[in-house]
Amino acid sequence: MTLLETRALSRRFGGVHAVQNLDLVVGEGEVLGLIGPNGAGKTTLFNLLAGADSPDGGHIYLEGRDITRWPSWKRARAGIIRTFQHGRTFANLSVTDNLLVGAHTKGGKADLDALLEPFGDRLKPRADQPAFLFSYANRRRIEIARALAARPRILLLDEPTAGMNPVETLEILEFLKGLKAKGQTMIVIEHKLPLILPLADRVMVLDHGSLLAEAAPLDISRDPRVIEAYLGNRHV
Amino acid sequence: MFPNPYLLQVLTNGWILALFAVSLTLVAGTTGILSLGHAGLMALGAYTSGLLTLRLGWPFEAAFLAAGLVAAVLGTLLASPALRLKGHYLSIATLALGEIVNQAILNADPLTGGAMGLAGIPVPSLFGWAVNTTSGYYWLTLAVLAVGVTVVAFVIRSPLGRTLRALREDETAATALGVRPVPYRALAFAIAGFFAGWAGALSAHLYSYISHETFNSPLSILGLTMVIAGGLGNVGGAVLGAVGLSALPEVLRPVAEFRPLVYGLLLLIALRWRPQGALGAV
Repeated sequence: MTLLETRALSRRFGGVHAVQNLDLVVGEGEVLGLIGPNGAGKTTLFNLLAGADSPDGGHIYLEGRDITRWPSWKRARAGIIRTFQHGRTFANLSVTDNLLVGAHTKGGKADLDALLEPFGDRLKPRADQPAFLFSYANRRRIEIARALAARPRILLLDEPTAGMNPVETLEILEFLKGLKAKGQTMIVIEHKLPLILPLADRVMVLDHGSLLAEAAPLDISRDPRVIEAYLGNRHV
Repeated sequence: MFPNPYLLQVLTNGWILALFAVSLTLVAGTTGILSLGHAGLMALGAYTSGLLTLRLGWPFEAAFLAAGLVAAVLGTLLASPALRLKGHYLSIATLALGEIVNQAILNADPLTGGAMGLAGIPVPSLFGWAVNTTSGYYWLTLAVLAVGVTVVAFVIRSPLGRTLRALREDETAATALGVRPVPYRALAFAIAGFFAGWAGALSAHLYSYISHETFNSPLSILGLTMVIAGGLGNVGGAVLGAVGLSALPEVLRPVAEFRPLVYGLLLLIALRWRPQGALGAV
């Protein structure tokens, strides 16, 4: 069943087509990977989906309802929850308070233990400390936990492992696989193919705002157009 | 209990300013709107209570309650066009709020007495008992302050306070989690307006005379100074800052004409060594 859909979605910044005539479909329980070089329009697409920015053309549908003109708070209440590329925790709020704000659409109620558990000892023992005291990677974890506190219908993750080393990246991969197993619908932007390929059901490759290729992870990694645009010529 | 009427007078003034500061710390600290026109809310309350008792003969209890409500409602309405703005733009708009209130008071001659001000505001009477002694007024203001402190402290610690702080920290992230900014800011303004209105009404009945210059921008700035000195968003800090800064000029009487200079220096020193305020920002 289709959960989120865009039709001919476009966003221009002056002469730059950040997103161009994009058709996207995400089914219930599906994990869609979104890759592409810097400036391909991935984050712009997230901004459009989450309502932080308005498209110049096209439509966005959530379960068939046209939400193109909805403000972001209304989309969040409908279940579209995102994280941010550079991390946006509430710096002076404790981890606990960050998560409780995350549960805003659920009346401020959340199972804090269950949300912090997957991150082991990284967050839980220091849950009363303000977010600004945490490392960059840990603030990314807080943000993911905070997004999950909203119990999203569809979770938009913008480079969830930016700033993490390979070991930490694998940890997040296992965690996200666990979410997927529980049926969490996700769109994941990520540069690290070792994260995207084992996680995604389907991968979309964006370049200059348009769809370059769309396929199962294995086929994507073999597509010469993708290799050229994304990994560079020397790999061909 | 306090035999010294001078001390009582200074403290009474301190309690009124503390109520003003507590109300302001909810807006400037918790909500993060550096309100530059907060004294306008005080003026709304002062004139409401003053006019209702003086012109319509309302009992103090009813007029006082009305003062809080009118300041809350009118203050929020006046601020509402600005609540969509962010950061400095919002602060400038609050500056306008204070000016609009005072200009309206000055020009609404038949109602407010215009430039002549409003004189002869009666002393408060509570259930038939006239509060006309220094100590009586001291206890009245302290009791009202206690109500304000309790309510604002409760709000700041409640989920509402948490949501307001989240909006302050990062509006984009809060909105992405379903928080609608304008109604939340309006609610903070309404609660703050209620208690600023009470502070205004208390001053009106204490001084018995008010004018469009009683609650001017320097008073708004003084309020911000108190709130910052005590620690933004900190209720105890707001009370400490207000009482401290209203008592400081009295303490500094011996240095006579150097008073403003020493006052300013002490503030600078305090901010140099304790920028987060005496009791810390929340």
